[in-house]
Amino acid sequence: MHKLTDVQPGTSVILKEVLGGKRLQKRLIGHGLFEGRAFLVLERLGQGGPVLVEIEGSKLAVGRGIAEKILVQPEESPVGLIG
Amino acid sequence: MLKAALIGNPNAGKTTLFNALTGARQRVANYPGTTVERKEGGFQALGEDVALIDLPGLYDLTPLSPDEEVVRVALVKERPDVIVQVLDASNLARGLYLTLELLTLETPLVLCLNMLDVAEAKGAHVDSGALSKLLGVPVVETIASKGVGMEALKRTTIKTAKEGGAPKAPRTTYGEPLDFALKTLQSTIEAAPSLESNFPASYLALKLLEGDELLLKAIQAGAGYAPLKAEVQAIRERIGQSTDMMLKQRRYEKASQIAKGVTLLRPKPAQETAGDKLDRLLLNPRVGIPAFLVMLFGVFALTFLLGNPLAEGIERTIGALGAWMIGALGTASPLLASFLTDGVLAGVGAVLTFLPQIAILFLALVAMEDSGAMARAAYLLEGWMSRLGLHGKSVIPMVLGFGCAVPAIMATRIIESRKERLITMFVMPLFSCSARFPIYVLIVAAFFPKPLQPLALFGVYMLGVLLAFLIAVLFKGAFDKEEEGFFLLEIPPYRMPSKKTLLFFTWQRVGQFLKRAGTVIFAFSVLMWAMSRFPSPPANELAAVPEGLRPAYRLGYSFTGRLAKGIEPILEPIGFDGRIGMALIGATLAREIFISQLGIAYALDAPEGASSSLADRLQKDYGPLTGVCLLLYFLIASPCIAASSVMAKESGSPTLAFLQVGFLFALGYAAVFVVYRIGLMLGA
Ligand SMILES: Nc1nc2c(ncn2[C@@H]2O[C@H](COP(=O)(O)OP(=O)(O)O)[C@@H](O)[C@H]2O)c(=O)[nH]1
Ligand SMILES: [Mg+2]
Repeated sequence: MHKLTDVQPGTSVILKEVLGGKRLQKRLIGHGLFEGRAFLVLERLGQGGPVLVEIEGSKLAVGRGIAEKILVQPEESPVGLIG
Repeated sequence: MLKAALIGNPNAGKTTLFNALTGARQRVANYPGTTVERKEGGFQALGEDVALIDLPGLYDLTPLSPDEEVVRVALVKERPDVIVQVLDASNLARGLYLTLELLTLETPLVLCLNMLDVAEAKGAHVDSGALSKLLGVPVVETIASKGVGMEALKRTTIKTAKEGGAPKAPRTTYGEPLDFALKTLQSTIEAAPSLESNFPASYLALKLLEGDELLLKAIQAGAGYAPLKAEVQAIRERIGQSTDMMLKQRRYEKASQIAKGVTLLRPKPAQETAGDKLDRLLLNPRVGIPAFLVMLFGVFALTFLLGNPLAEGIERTIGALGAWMIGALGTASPLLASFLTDGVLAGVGAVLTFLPQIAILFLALVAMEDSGAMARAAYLLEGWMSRLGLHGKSVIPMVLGFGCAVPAIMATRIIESRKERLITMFVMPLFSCSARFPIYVLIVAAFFPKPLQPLALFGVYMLGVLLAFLIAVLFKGAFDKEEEGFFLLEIPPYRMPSKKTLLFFTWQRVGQFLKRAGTVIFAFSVLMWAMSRFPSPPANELAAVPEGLRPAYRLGYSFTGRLAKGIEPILEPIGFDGRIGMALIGATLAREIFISQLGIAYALDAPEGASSSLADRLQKDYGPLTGVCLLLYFLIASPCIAASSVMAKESGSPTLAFLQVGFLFALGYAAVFVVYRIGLMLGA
């Protein structure tokens, strides 16, 4: 599992866990971010900046403080024939 | 009279819809969180009067803050006859998540499927008929920004309200053991009539299991509260710690499923949309941040290049009008002529000259708000802002502050954490508002060479921004530390600002400016004229003064002239004379009075028949050093009563507002002092 802040832009990930309190978790659910949900990491700004993700076709900027509390796993790449 | 409530996710188009339905002109913007208070209006259709309220946007009905509790109170306590939920068709799951919760309120519900054009452009077709069947509520298709579907929405709203009754939606299932727990809890609630609550049992059961603290507080006075609380506790313990999260997650999944079920996705075109392409470029900070700055600079350059010729036209017209008045009245009634030309025209007219620039400034601000540029700037600057103790979203009120501090301070409500919100408010006066803009333009035009003028103006604004950032860094420790930055922001799609919106809101702001000129500025101009004209020196004293010096002698003899002498000792150290001092005193009432008062002082001081522009006269009497000092004074020190009172209200701390005024005045005075002294040493 990785922190959302450590994921390369362009990666599709699945959310595994939100480390923050209930308040944060509830807010994130309203944006469709909770365990088991897949989304795409679009951009990761340096300088303590936010992470930009795309979920269900819309863009959401997630502040650094929150992104550090979101644990994700890169989506399994389909088992290809290429091996 | 029927009562209807508009509700929906932030940025779904509620306010646009509200305006289209009621003919009101509330502010819309293409970023979430614009509507911070409830607004009321009304419309008529089918021979019925409907009262409509526009509520702040929200993602679900579990308020996490008192601000959001406002919405629930409006829905539950006031019991509207019908709820109209606005859904963004291009972002359906998010909206339906709220819908599933609204259904438990047992109030008639109408779904307004908005932004159909955006969804279509994305290649998504939503089957509103299927959605209506699935949820058992009417669904109306709309494109609020183009006024499409308004009549149908009005009629459906009225019909649904009159029919009454809870929506016939199938109960949302959460899976066992949650469904069983909900049912048990609901029957307990129904069997306990002593419970003092306006909430329907199904909603109450759901929210209690979700651990809604505010709701628990709201019903704790009732007799049935204690046993109910015990039961909730027992159920939550049996199911496990995360009952609340499980309910919400299941509901979101359900919403997501419904959205997928009713949306037909056309095969995506191979190439990405223009907006995505633009975002790939502009959401890169190395391109986006400079682009944002260039855009701001462009706005100021535009006000000069386009605004100045227009302003000169107005100035000429006013000059001609004055000359005509003197010709017509001068001999018959010199006092009336003086009142009209030296008082009204010189005072109000001097301010009115800036109408074109103000209009351009507001047009640009509205365009930036409506296009989606602001949300992107907030995203790009969040990293830097959080290090300064500010918040990414602070960018939005700050840019709005270039228009007027009052709406800007209110807009700080979009910032979730209190500390960052307070700091943003505290530094807001350093973002120069449109009332200071004419003053800057006047001074810059008087003391800077023409090619440098736009740059000088932009420089003043940037100096303010820089100072604001410095103060934020210095003070960030002074506000309570526990809270940490909380930044979560939807980046809306780009929108071409509609001509209607642009004209609407620019005209609104221009109208406010004109109204201000006609009322406050007019009144103070008259006052200032009278104070600068009376008392007159006795005729024999005046006769002893050489002809050319008489106007100046008159002015010196007047009330203003004497007051100016009185405050000279305070102003002398920072290089301002009595005439400027008087204008500064006027400016504390309303900043534009600075210009009016100078205009009046010069008009009364002028030898008969002499007429030259205010900028020319300033240039003749003062050096560039005074110009720079004046710019600094207005940038930092000049207070605004309206902004301070809003600040006191919004921060909940009049002390903070008071400190702000005192601090900025001291800082401004010190800065002007230092610059003036250094300037003198350098021989400027
Ligand atoms: N393309 C399109 N834009 C819309 C529509 N309805 C609203 N808008 C725009 O969406 C943005 C948000 O609207 P607003 O009414 O402020 O949303 P609110 O936050 O729900 O009050 C504004 O820029 C509107 O001009 C629509 O049906 N189609
Ligand atoms: Mg709104």
